[in-house]
Amino acid sequence: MTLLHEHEFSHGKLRYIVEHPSTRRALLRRVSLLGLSASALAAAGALAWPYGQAAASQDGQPVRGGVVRVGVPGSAASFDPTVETIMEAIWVMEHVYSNLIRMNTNMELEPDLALTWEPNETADQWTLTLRDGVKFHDGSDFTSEDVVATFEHLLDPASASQYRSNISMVESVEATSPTEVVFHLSSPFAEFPETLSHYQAKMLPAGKMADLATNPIGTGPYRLDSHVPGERTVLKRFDDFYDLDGQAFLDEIQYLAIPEEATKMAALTSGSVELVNEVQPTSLPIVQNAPGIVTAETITGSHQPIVMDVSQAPFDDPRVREALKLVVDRQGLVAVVLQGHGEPAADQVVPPSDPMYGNVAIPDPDLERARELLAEAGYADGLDLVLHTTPGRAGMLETALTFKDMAAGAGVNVEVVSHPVDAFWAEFWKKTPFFVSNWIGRPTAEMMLSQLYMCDSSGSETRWCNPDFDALIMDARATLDPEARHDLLTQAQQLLSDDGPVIVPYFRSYISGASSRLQGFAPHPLRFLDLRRAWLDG
Amino acid sequence: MLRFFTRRLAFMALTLFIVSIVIFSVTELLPGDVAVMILGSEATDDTLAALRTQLGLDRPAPARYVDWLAGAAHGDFGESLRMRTDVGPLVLERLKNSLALAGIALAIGVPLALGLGIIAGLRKDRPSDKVITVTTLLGISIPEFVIGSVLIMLFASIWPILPATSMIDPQGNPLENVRYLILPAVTLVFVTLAHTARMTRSSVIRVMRTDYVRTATLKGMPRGRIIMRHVLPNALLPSITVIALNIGWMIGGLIVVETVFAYPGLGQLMIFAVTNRDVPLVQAVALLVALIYALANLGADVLYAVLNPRIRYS
Amino acid sequence: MNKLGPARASDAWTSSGNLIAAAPAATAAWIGPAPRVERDVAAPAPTRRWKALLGSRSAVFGAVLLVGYLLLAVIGDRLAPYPPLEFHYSDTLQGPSSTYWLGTDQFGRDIFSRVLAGARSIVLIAFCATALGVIAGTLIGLTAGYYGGKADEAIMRFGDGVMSFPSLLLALLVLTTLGPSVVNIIVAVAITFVPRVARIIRSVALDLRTQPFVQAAQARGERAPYIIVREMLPNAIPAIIVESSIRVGYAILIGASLGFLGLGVQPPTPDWGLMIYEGRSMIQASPWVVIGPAIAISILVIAANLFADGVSRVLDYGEQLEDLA
Repeated sequence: MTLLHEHEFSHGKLRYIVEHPSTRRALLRRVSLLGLSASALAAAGALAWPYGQAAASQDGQPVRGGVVRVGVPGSAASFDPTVETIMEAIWVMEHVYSNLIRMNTNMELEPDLALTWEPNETADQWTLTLRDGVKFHDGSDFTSEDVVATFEHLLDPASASQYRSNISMVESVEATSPTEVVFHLSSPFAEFPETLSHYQAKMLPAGKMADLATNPIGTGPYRLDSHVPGERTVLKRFDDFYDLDGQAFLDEIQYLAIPEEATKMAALTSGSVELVNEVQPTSLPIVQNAPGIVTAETITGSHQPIVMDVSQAPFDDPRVREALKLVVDRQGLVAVVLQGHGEPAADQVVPPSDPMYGNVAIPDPDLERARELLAEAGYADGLDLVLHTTPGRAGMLETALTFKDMAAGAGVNVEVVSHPVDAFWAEFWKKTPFFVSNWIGRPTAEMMLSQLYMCDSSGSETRWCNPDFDALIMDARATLDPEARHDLLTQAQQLLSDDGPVIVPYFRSYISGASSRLQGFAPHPLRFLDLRRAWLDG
Repeated sequence: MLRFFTRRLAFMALTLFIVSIVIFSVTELLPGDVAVMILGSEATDDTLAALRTQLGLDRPAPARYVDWLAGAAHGDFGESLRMRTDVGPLVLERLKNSLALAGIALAIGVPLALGLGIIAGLRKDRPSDKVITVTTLLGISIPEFVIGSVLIMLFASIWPILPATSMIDPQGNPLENVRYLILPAVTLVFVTLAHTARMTRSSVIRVMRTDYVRTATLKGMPRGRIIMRHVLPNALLPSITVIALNIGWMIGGLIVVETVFAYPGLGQLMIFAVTNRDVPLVQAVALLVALIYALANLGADVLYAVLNPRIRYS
Repeated sequence: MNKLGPARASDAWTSSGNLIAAAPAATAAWIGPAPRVERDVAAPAPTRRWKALLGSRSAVFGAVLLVGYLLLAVIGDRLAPYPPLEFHYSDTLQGPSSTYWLGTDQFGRDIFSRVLAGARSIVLIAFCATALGVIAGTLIGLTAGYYGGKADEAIMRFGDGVMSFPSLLLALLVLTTLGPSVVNIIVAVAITFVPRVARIIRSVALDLRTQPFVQAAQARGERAPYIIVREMLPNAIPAIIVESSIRVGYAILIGASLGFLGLGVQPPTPDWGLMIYEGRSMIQASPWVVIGPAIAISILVIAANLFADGVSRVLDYGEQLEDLA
């Protein structure tokens, strides 16, 4: 996403620059000519060097054919990409629909339905060139009219898309030709292309959006073949897909709903499925010892913060918030809750995999200082808190229990109240002042920070409002220079870490377990499941 | 008999009506609604409101019930709020799966249970009786989820000869599909075996004590003939009703077994429906379970009345 | 009695109770003899029964185990070598050893200590739910049986509706509505018991109503509550005892299954069903996490069933037959 600093980023980009010096020159020339953002750079890069060939040259020649069965915890309930938020649905829709721009497993943008994207000088107008000759699964052509219709739908308050809050700055979308659209923004937004890679920003066919929930029509490499809710979802390759040479090597992808972890592991090790994209760390010993199974791990932006409502006592007192942050032994939580498969975090939500990661120092636990702060805040005799959580998402309950154990050392008595997952979301989440939440990463740091922690954030869990923080975010949006933007966002992360309303103890890693025959697959830092360039060997 | 039958059917319809009202009221009382469950942590006030409008949840509950009832009277059980698809085919598919599993479990379990019960009854207090009694006691006492998990460990992990999941492939080879059903079916057999076996055992013991069996023995009739002609027909009569009732029980009691083996049956669908607050789906599954239960009871009573000349209905 | 034998069995298995309503002649045949025996040999009978109960080895074995579990429920947490909620960060997911006899879970909590402490919740739930369900069911059953007629019919129809749900499903719905807490679990399990107990006690009551001592009381002008509590209830006690002993086993199984489905006792309380629910994802890599609680539950249900078996044999109910759902 930017050319700067980040080791994560440099992996993908540097490799390409070293191997293709001529393209690099071409790129640099375009940058200097147009003053382009890093996003456009990435686009050009991907253009000059189709990604599919890259995968092939690394891992051997892709083989066409075969069926991959994926063991997933549940099944997609429906396929309306503007509504569904559960991972099982997202994992299917990733292959059925296309974004304009995608985020690949190296956290780089690559063209999907849009080939290029360019801002004007002030970054409040973005022009996208669309791929020509793309077909929807029903045979109709994909054109700029579909882009306009999709965004009109997403921006319509009657649609239930939560992505609307991420693109609230979009004033209008204009189809300037069948293969060109222009987005007019109300304010400058340097990371607008990244925003377009959101999992709900799938391009939909104009005038045919009513039945997508059960009859999805996308432009993706796979079309829905059959779906038995709660059992299996079968995707078959779409024969008119635009990039059959570089993607969609598998004939078929099947998603099998296997809720029980032990059953799922048995299915993987006995060859009943080729892939379990999310293996619990506690199952790792089984998978690692199994012949013919390979595991891969990636750090993600997923985190399970302990959330404090700052409009209510005692969390309205910054000293209490700081004290509660100081009781947390982050390494200990990573060890107990994640069995070591994660990274400690510093009470802010931008993960190390994000190019805009500010590297805020991880606080060490300091029970003495925590006691002092609590005493200053008037809780010298101890503090009683009730923390709500659920065992319904792995890690949330464990985090609460471990926090309780750690807080006891500073004289804070935490009562952990656990609820079944359905009751938790309905009755306690955002309705109590102190609870554990659960978030997956977003394509950009700005998106994650602004969605939850600005004064008017639609997703706010905490009622935290800090004008300095808001100002930093607004400035970052308007800053096209990646380095300057990184500085601003780092300040925002530091501010959230120091004064913010959340304890973010860790970022989770996700582990995939796959048959050694499965090639060209890697776990995605945004928890997506991307099999577009995977194939089966032998 | 006919009057008895029609009376029972009328009561059944009434029961189902009561059930539908109770279930609808209960689901209204449940915390949260399907919109909250769909959006989870991504929910905001305006997206929730939009989704509720799309799903028709903004209308008052009694109006929704009356609509549902009008549809149900015509055989239209509405659309699942969570899956956005017709409830009818969804439920029937799961019913088929549950019946297949229950069918296999019965096919293994019934002859086994009857055989064990007869052996135990005829050899009362001898070692074989003790072994059978203790085994069936274990079967009745160990929770289904423990038996199921142990079977998975033994036959899918340690000695991998059977698949751990029970994902039936609709296009797959039926014989291969049966393989997937073995572990869950065996778990069910374990749990249901005990009741039928113990029932049969005590009937056999009771019949063996009757005057006519004693008379036959005193008359010098061979033991084998006594058993075949006098003991079994009388002793198995109650077992028949037990088996009929087991069908009704199995459909509902499958919940745990279906959860352990990821088996897509009615029980799992019910849990999905409840946790997602999918009211039309909860209604349909609950009514179906109640209907099966009532039919099994009715079947048992009718079968019993037909087979037992001593009972007559006014 | 022998002649009516098969009919007894059938009626007990016929969950609807309609058969009984439709054919009063066959009414309560299955359970009829016991109260009569009670009255015929009024004084010596209880003593004789106690002796018989003590003579039944399996019943005594079951009773001893049950008492052991009761003790564990009271003092189990004090016998535990470690506090059941104590974390040992450096010893997570350890196998059984001399330090941790049954190993540790992912927080490094000692599983042996948690198994000992975990007796409390399930024993409390099982006994309270049984008591509540049997008391409510008995009162409803006696009342319905005593009055008969329309009221009886209405109560039994409603009971049929409730019973046409499998117990676990009903408990699940009730708990989802009320939210899981020990009290709510007890209520949910008890609710599933009420119609089943009521049906059985009602059939006893239908029989008792025709007995001379009830008719005499009616002739004396006693009021209905008096007759129900003072005349009928004592004579229904054998049936109530048998019913209770059977229900305990079901209460344990339902309680544990609710725990397994994540709707029972909530963490971090040590509870066997919950421990299996939490540990089942690790069952292959760390089987010790679930073995302890699984064995503890199974033995408890076995004990309850042995005891119930013995009690129903001794109280002359033969093989007790229950509708299972």
